Amino acid sequence: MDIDQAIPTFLLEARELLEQMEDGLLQIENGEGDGETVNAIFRAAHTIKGSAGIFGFDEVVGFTHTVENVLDRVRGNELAIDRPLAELLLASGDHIGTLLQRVADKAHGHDPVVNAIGHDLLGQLARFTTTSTLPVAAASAAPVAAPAASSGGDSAITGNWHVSLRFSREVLQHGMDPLSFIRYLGSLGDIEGIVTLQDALPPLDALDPEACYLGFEISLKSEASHADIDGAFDFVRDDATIHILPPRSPLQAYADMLTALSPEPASLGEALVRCGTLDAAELERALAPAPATTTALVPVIADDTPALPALIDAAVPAAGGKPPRDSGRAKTLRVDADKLDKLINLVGELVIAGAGANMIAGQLKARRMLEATSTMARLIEEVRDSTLNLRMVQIGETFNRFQRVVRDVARDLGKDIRLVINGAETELDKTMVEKIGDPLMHLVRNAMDHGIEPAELRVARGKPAQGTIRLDARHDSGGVLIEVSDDGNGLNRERILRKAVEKGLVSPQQNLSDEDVYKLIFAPGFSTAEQLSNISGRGVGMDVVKKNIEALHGSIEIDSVEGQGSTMRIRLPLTLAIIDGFLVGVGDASFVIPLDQVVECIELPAAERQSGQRRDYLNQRGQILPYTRLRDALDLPVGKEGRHTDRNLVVVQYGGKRAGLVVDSLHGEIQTVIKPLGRVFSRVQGISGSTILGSGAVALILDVPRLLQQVTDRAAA
Amino acid sequence: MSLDIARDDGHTRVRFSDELNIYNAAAIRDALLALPADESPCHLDLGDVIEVDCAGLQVVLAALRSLPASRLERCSAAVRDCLALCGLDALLPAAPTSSGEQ
Repeated sequence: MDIDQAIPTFLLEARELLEQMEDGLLQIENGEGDGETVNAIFRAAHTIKGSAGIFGFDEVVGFTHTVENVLDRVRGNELAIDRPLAELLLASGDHIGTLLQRVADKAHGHDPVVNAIGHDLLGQLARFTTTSTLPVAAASAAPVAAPAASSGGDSAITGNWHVSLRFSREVLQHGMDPLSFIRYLGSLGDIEGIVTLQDALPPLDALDPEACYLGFEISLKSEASHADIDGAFDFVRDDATIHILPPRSPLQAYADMLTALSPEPASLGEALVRCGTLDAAELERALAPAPATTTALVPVIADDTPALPALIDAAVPAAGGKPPRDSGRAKTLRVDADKLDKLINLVGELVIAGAGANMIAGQLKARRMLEATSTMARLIEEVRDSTLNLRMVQIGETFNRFQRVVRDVARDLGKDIRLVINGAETELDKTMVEKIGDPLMHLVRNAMDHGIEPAELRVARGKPAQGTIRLDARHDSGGVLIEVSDDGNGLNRERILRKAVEKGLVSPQQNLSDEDVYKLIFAPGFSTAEQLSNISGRGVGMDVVKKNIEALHGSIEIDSVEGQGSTMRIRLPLTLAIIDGFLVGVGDASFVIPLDQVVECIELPAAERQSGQRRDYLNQRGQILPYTRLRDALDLPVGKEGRHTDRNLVVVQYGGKRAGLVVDSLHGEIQTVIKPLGRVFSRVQGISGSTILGSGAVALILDVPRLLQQVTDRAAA
Repeated sequence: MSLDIARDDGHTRVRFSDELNIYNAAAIRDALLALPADESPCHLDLGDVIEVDCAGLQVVLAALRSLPASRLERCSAAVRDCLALCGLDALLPAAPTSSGEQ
């Protein structure tokens, strides 16, 4: 019931709108924008202003209003967005963001720094506004009255808008105060007359104090457009009957409204007279038996004044402009992330419980029971997939943030760099999207600072003067692959190696592959930049990047060709919560291998099983396949059963590498809910999590990338 | 919110203070209904009200219509603002009439 509860939603939406504004401005700056882009920017500013007004955030309203005025002139083709203006509007957007942050922080009073910035921006914006916000409409509106009236369509004389409001009984219970909407309407112009209708108000003893009984007839002098005025009621649309009539509407339109609102149009009409919209004679004419046709409002204006597009624009609620936003809103639903997490947890439990039921049915050998549980298992799987899908968001939103980063950083560095984005529609778990932002930011900044060369050097090297950074995302073997690439310097193998030897990370004698050398830059405290700059930090970055990515069960690798550029390749699992796994056994213990990483299962050839002949690789269809015994890799006790040990080999792959894991037994596919390991186990290598089997036993989930690393390292050694 | 009810020279004086809004509209309504049902004029003193919303305004309007010969006596800035916003200036104490009809 408290309007304060709506503030977080307002802030969230306002920030999204700011992002839209920014995207649009960047598009225009790059010469990609069109009229619709300008409209979108304008609508964003307008909606922020409107919503802020409802909450009474005057600072935000005041500042955004000026921005909106400038944008309105752009929209009216009176002003073109050039570089300086785009710059100014971007800075203004940032300032609105600051003001919103102050709202979020519940900051009171005045912050002199913020005020100074705001004042400076307003000063600059003022150069782009004229004294009148809508000179075209204002200038052309004046002469309309006469021709419109004389052309036979009897119109009202008033130059004011008429706004008629009837609120639902429940509006107060929905946490809104009708008075705040009227107050906001006052900020769009002057309320020259208002009549509060109390006809519905019962006597005190019958009054429900939480129901709204009042209605309002308002005469508003304003140069705002229909969309502006209509927009004031965005929050209360479901809880109110709203009629908005433009200045000098045909009398018939007033009559239609009166008939729609009241069984006694004449007495309600008195209110229109009292608030100054109509005079008594007009009311009488309006209510006189009407001509047979009740033409809709818009065509009447269009017929009478074909030469006045501005006024029609003002009168017609932006037919092409608004619906996309409204329909978008109708199709999506904002849900608290905590609720989703709870649902996913529950589904996880359901998966475990389902597996338990399935196992018991198997043990009882009850056929019909087995049928029932397998149907249920299939349904559970579908529920699981749909639930996880709810959390999937497109990575594009994160990518788009980088447009601004690249633009600003490039400017700071004095380089000309463009950002190319591919695969923005790739979907990824929301938590992952949130957490991958910082590492990506670091990689992008790094690429710009250390990767892309100065323009002269680029030209000397025969490359285009403009550097390119690419962000690519795509789905790849059950996970997501994100690449950050540049066409710059590439990594300097010698320099990295020299530095690593200096730091004692490797010995000079070691013979390292390129890949291994590149990996050295992820070592803590490693930095090769000869000149440190404030852009990419002081060498604390890359190890943190790697750690953050590994915390998401992801991995990062580097591809680089000296002088041609480098590519950072990040692999992430789709989700952190539930996976399809493959259950294997070693001795008494059970392990789960993520199914996406399993290629095939083969029987370990008898010769290899001889403990005397451990070669740790075998010939698989002509290819060398290194393998490891899981028992050895994880230091498990040797089984007593002897005969069955180390019988099977599971071929796994990850990131282009393959290897075999030797296990005792294969148990088949299983749905697995990943439970994180406690902190105690954080240093255990080769295990990424745990899960609970249907039997209630715990199985450990293998960290295949880490195991593969061990195997290939050893094979290479 | 508190209601302070006093009687002096032939009229009942109801003094409102603090907030007059949806949170206490019900309490105020009940308190007003509990006033002794005689014909003495009732003066609503809104001089100490610091906040008024639509729900609060409705209770006042309903009281003016239902209580005998009632009128507003003092109005705080918040109340004046609200009445002006709604075009109900005629209810302000300076006005001679006691009717809430608009």
